[in-house]
Amino acid sequence: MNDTLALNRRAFLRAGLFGSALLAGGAGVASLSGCSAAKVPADGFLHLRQADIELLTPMIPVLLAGALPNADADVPRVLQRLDTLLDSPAQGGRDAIFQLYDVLQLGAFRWWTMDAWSHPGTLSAEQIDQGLASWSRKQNSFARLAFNGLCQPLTLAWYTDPEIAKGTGYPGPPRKVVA
Amino acid sequence: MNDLSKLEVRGIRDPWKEGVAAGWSVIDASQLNEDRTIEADVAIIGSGAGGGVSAEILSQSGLRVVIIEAAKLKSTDQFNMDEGEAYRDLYQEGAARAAKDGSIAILQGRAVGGTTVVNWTSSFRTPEQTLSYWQDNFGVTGLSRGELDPWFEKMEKRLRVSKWAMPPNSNNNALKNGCEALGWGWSVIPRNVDGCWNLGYCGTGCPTNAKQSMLVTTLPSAMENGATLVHSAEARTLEHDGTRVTAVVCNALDGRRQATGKTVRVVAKTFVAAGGGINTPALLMRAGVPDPHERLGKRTFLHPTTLVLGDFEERVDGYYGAPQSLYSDQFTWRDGVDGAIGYKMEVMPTHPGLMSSLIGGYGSLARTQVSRLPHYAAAIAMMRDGFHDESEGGAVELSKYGDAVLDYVLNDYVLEGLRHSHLKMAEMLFAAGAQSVRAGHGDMPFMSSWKQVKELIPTLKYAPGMAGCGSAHVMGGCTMGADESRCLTDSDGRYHHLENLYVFDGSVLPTSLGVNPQLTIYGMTARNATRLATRLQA
Ligand SMILES: Cc1cc2nc3c(=O)[nH]c(=O)nc-3n(C[C@H](O)[C@H](O)[C@H](O)COP(=O)(O)OP(=O)(O)OC[C@H]3O[C@@H](n4cnc5c(N)ncnc54)[C@H](O)[C@@H]3O)c2cc1C
Ligand code: SF4
Repeated sequence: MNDTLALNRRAFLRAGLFGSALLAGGAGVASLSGCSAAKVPADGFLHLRQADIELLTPMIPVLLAGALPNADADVPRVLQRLDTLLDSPAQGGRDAIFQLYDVLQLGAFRWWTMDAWSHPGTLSAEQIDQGLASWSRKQNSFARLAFNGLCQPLTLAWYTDPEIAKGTGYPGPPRKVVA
Repeated sequence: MNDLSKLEVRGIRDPWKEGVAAGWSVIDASQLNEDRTIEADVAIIGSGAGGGVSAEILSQSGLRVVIIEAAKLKSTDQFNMDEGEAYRDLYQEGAARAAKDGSIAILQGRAVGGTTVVNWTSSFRTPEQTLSYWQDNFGVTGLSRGELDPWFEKMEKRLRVSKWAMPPNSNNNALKNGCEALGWGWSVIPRNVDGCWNLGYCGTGCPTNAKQSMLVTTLPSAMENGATLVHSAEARTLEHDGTRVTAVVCNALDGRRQATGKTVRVVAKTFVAAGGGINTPALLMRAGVPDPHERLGKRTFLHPTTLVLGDFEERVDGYYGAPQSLYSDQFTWRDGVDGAIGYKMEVMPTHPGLMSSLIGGYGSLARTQVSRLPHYAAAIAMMRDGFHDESEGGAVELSKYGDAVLDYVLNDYVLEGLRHSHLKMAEMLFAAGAQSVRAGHGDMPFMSSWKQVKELIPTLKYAPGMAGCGSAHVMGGCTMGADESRCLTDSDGRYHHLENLYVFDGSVLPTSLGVNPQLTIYGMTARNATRLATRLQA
């Protein structure tokens, strides 16, 4: 991974699914991140790649703090639900979210958004939390679109789980009984 | 506490199960082992508001109709009120469609029955001001309110539209209480329901058949008239020679919406495009139909919509009960028809998946806010876009895969309306008794007094990605009107540059409406499909 690559902020031009800002030359990002198998989904997943899983695994307990009844043990289920959610968008929209995950592999992008050069896998939960807090307050449209692109699909994927939904105080839907 | 989770919905018929058993002509393209060609008098692409009404009227006049729908057939027995399943099976892109820059979440249906299967049943006639604006600015003819009223009346009867007579749920009641306290106008929403159980699951497919969507009204009647439905078939292109269309070519899709490699070709004398905003222009762009002034997909409007949450001490249970039953037009024409952007105020249901993602943010703060879900009233405002030089709407583009993408930029004109509506809805919810209020803006916390909110909102930055914005109403992209340099169809929905192609859906609207769109589309399509039937029989 070439962490020394400086990113031109004005290159964040296009975006898609839920506001995931992506690089204009997004196709190149996967190769920049140095993962040769970047396009291949991880075992047991339709879309998420091993690098995405390693990126999101430490972030999910922070992003969904308070919403994981079994704490870290719920992370694989969150990833599965996210993967399923990502199966429905058109290919172009899905590309956008993966380009966001790709740029998140870059230290420079993390530095800009989360004030932290290091991969989330090497940060503590507190450090990730601080990084997300700073990202979420940035007075910059592209940064905020990207932030929403990270959070919203995860939130939607998780809170559409009927069991998790009940944790909000929602009693759940009536029961449909088919004759 | 209101708790419907113990309620059982049973003893409900599934019209499609019965219809298929009785011999309706239904083709599930996902199951085809070879390419197939079908002949028809009229091919209708899309089975929503425009497609459903067209299918009923054209089949009634004895024409052989084939209805093409990208979605897989899903009907009453399978409507189990599960939010996640509904988004996956009944919404465009699994409810993850968004404007190109990601700043606007776009909800749009993808179902046999189109968006009418998931809409919230509000049924308004087109405002007079809107119709006059089209007449004056686009040369639309024959669609004055006086001329359309008989068509609205016909469709209101057909779809059982009447003002909601039951008490509103607490979510809607908050709108009323706020408006009354402030001396603002409000009124009761007419709904297209018959025997509504007042459950609140209109957005996940009505489990009781009460909602008079196309799935349980016009489409079954077209099937009884001998129409054929081809579902799981996405129209990808049209065969044409620049003057006439000869066939529509569809990809068969599997359960994961992927092309199976098999195609369905429908050869017909007349074609009706009814895929709705964004999708109809995208199909015509893929087909390379004549478009000398490059108007396809331009002027796509969204009613950009803002949200304000009011946290009430008592439970609101906004996920239960008829989702929309009251509205306010206090600010719909706040600066006349073509001044600063006006907006209609309503409420939206608060099911946990959608609402938690709209609440936004992350971590423990998001969790604290989501945990108050049963206490929220959720007021929304729909911006009337398209009535001003600075409101040209969005443009549809094709991705490198040939799929539709909408480039819609929230400019200062629209952003001013977002801010204004945040202020007014916050004021309304405080007046209704909310103990704290938060506008849908990433930099706004819940605040406990109107004074604080009134001071904060003018200082916030309103920019894409910062102010929350969504849409459930996609309109335009195939503008109708006489002026060929700006319009693609005439006022009867006929494509200006191809003899036998008609557009009968929300994409012909020259601007947004200022009201929820379904009844406009039903009424205009009833008129235009009737005229087409007469023409084809002559
Ligand atoms: C959550 C929600 C709530 C709403 N609530 C209300 C409300 O209360 N009142 C109101 O008036 N309006 C409401 N609306 C909007 C309203 O339902 C739509 O504006 C209306 O149904 C649009 O009609 P249409 O004919 O243009 O397209 P649609 O009804 O969207 O139908 C188009 C159909 O065509 C299919 N299609 C598209 N392209 C292709 C293709 N290439 N090949 C095959 N099939 C294709 C689509 O899958 C879809 O099923 C709501 C919308 C949403 C999303
Ligand atoms: S509120 Fe009425 S129309 Fe809506 S889903 Fe429930 S029964 Fe159907």
